Amino acid sequence: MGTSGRGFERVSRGSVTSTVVRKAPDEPEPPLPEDTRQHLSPLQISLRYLWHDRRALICGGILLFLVALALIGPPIYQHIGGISPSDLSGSIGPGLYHQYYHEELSRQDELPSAQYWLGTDSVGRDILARLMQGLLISLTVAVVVEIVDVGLGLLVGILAGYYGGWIDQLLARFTDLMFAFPSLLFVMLLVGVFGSSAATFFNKVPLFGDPGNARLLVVSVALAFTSWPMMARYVRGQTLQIKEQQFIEAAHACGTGDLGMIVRHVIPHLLSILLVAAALDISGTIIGEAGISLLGFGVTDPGSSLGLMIADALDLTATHPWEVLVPTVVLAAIVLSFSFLGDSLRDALDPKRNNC
Amino acid sequence: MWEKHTLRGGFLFALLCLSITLIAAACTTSTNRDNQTTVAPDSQQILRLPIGSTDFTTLDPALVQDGGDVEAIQTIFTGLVQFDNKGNIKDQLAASHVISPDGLRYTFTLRPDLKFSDGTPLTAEDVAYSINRTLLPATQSPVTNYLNLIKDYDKITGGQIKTLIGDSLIVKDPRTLVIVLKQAQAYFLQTLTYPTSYVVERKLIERYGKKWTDHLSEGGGAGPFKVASYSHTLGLDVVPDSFYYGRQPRLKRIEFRISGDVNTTYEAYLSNQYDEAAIPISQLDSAKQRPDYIHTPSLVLSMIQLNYNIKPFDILKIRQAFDVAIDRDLITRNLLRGVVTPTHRYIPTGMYGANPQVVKGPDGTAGTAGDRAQAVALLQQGLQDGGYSNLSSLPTITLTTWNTPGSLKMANVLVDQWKTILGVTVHVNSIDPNQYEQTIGTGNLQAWMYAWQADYPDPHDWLVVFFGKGQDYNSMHFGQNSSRMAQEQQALQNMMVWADTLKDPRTRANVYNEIEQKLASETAWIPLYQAASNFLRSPRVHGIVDNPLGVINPDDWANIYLTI
Amino acid sequence: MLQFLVKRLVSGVFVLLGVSFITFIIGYFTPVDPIRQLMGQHYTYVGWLQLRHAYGLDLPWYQQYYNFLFHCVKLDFGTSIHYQNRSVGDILKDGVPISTELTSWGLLLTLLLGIPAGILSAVKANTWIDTTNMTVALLLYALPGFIIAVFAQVMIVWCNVQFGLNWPVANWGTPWHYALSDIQAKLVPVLIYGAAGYAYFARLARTSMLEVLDQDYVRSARAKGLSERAVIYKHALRNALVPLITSIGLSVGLLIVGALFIERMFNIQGIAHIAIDAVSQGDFPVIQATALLAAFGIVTGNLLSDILYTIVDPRIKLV
Repeated sequence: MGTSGRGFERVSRGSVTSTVVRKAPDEPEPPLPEDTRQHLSPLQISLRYLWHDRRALICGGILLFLVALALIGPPIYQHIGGISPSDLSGSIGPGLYHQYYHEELSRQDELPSAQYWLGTDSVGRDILARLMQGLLISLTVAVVVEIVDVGLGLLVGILAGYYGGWIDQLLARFTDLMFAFPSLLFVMLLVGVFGSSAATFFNKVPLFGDPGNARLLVVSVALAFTSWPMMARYVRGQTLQIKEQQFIEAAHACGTGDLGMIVRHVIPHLLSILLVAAALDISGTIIGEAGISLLGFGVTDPGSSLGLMIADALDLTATHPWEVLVPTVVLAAIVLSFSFLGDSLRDALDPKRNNC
Repeated sequence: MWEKHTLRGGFLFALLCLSITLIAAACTTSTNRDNQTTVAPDSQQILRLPIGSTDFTTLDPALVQDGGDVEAIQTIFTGLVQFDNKGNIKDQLAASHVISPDGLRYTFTLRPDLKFSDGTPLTAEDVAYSINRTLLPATQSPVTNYLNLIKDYDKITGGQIKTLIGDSLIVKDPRTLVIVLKQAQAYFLQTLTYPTSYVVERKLIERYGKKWTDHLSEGGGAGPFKVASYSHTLGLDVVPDSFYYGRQPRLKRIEFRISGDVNTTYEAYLSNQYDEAAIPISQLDSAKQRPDYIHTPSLVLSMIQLNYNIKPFDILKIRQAFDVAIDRDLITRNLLRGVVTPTHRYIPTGMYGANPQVVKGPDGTAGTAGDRAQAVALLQQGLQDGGYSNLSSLPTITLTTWNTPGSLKMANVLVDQWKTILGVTVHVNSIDPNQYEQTIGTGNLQAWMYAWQADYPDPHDWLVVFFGKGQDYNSMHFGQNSSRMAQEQQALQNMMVWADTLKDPRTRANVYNEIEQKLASETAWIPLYQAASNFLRSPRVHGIVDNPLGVINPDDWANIYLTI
Repeated sequence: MLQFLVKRLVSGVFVLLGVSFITFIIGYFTPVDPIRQLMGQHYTYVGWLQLRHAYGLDLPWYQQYYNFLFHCVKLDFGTSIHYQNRSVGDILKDGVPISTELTSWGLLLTLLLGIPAGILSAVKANTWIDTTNMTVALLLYALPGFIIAVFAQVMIVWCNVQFGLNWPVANWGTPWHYALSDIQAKLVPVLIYGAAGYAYFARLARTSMLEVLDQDYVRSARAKGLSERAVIYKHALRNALVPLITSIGLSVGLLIVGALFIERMFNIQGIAHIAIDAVSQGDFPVIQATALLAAFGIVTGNLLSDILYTIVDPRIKLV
């Protein structure tokens, strides 16, 4: 709700109606007082609401911090620290031992220290470095999946909802098919088939070309493929609702064409809904990627992913619980932050809140 | 008077104290001894063995491949011969055997009054039937090659003849069987120890067809145990077979249970739910301190195979450089927690044909820590030999390995060592374990990690299989390649063929040892380590003699029992 | 209604066909060679050819697919490649009762605990009850099942060692059988499966209830003077449950699919466990059969939820 047309701001919902005082038609109307209030657009209202929502701020802050950690953390971390002896390479600096793939077999399973800020894992790799790399991977996969997910869902859902008819039927059947496919099985199958060829294919691509990461692209695409039906359904349902609204009729009456209708009227309405849906969905994607890496179908050594770190540390839960605690806590933090943020976004964008 | 009383009282008191102490001591020691030697009553003679996270792949001796399945099968079925716990061949169903002077005919005389577990008599016809069945195409056995020494093996597996009975499997009378070989080979009896030649009951198979292994409680085998129940989701229970020809087992029941992955099984063992468990790598350090820790070398070697047909591994010195650069001790100590043995061997210790002396590596020593300086020197010479002006003109080198966490870690350590010591960048290519064998089989990989477990403990299964001419597993193109070493290699191949015809075991072993040292000095592949079985076994279990073969002779079950 | 059912049946068959075809094609083009995998260390070229022929893998793809469909109609799903001589039907027969037992009890737990918890949260919105409830739910929701499972296993081992108990750390016991040992084995996995569902349904119920409580007719009911109890249980609850119906229907459909991670962690020989193993082993007959089974479950679940939807809310017309 909330077109820019100011005339509709006063439209009431519910049982309380505003009464318009009607004067007798022959009396001149008294001049109305100047309306000096600032008229904010609904978007600005929502943003303001978010700003005051402590929960959203905290979650947003955490997420921003983690993103920053993933992006600028590694270069900074690799310049912190002194020279230290290594098993094979003599004395090395932090540029080497703070890399996520560098192993020091004599420094296994250490707790946090000045040299290794979060300790080392079972083959002597720096946990903080792996965490940052894992964050990068997890967040990248999540973003890629969401983009494909939302993109496809939007496209298919709008077409189905707006045009209806045979397009709707066909798309409905197709979504049924994708929906019925057990998603994890699908992902595993795809990775099994295309996984090894992906490694050679994406050799040159940054991030995805790094050893152990090529299968990520396949995993991302597979994950997106299995989650877009939900999105499409949701979009279709919302499109149907929006179609019935009055402003659409009005736009029709003005003579707006189909494409214009979709782009200028339907999509803006959907955006806020999609934003919320994506935010809530992203946690599922991140857990999905972690789970797949855990099963061994996703990122593999020497790459790092939150799921892989957990898998590596699972065997050591009884003896070295710290190693499984770190990625678990971070994973939970991300998921919770996205969930809370999604909740807050939904509350903020809730039309009922936009003073009606 | 008073003094006499006290004296006597004191004396009596002291005597009382002394006797109490003595009795107490006697009681405690006797209970201690009881704890150690009190044999469990029959109702508690139950051995509980975990079998991992899934059901047996199969219990049909003609089809079996997996070691865990073989363990179970060897309690229910048995064959003509089997190893004893020292690795010597011992007659089982056969009372004796005679080998013809030309080495082509083996005559087995069966024991009298043999019976299947349901009481049906077992004769030489059943033995012939079982061996024949394994080779029939209709059985779809993936492991027929254990019997490939038998005459006309190709014809029956290819479907050209219908049966070998009467041809190379001759039933002379109900207690005499003759097997004819296609050529005299010294290791034939070893191949008979594998389940493919174990005797199965024809009646059961004809009644139930492919599902006969679900009905093993009705009969089927002639081993020391018979099946009491088999559930595909819980496991297998076996009890002693009263018709077994040898000494009856002392155990009253063995329970093979589906237990979960290594970690879960280990935890369950610690909770006293099983009598044996493998040890997850992460727990090795603490497990080694325990009194129930058992370490036996196994007949498994891990190595890196290098393709002679792909540069730069056609240059001897480069191969040697890569070998000498590896610090096996570091890998063994830190990555594998010291439970394997670094080695230069091509035939593992613990079997016939293993070199009694230490095998030396390409640097001429038996050292396994690598030699930095020599590796660099060898590389320099190798570059010259190959006509490479410097390191950067070397072709790309890729090491292929399984796509499992453990293998990847190992590969990365190796790559790291080569980078640090030689300055060479090696790429890692990881492949799904399912596709591994077939990818290697194309013969186009440059360098790959591999591991091999003995099918039967004979040098043939270690050297000829990999280095022989035209062998399926010779993916390194040893002997048939375009490098400068090809001639020498072909000479070695001929030597191996000749060795297999030798009748005297000691001479044969010596020849193989010579071949092995030559291979080691010339880095025919890069040996890494010999694996071992590391597991925990409950101190309640007595009588099991662990050996590298991993076999329990059917008669040895009579020595195995549980205490309280 | 009948027309609706027929339409759905037809589309259901279409979906199943589509799933089986996709699985088949993926399986056909995979570089994994199940025969090679089967032969393992004992590979010979000749043996490989023979086994391929025996399993019909040397036929062209359309013929293989046709054979598969033909046998499917007779409910014969072929023979497993990995477990030689075991028919796929037998393998499924072993796995389905176990999976359904786990998921049924888990779902029961979820519904019995989650929905009332969510409703209670909504009714007492923003009090400490609500906050704790939702925090617990969120934690359970955010932590992946496999993490909770691992910690649960560590706890069990610790308890076993400390208190001398004998609780099994993994495995399932006899399906649909409730001796003490069976209950010991089944309790923890069911709790964990229920926990994840609990979080989901609690949040859903709370959101739904809150929306309903905000509606005009609830305001009217209150204005009319009805007791809070009547307002909640007679008017609000029924409408609040409507959005949950979809999810319940879908969950019922998922009963057959099984719980992937829990079965893995606890080594429960259910359908999901069998499916994962089959993917690793390249055992295509099993993969196809389990994919079909799972799709069947989901399709049925969808149908169920749509039917329930109309029963609960007569305004919805079945399309």
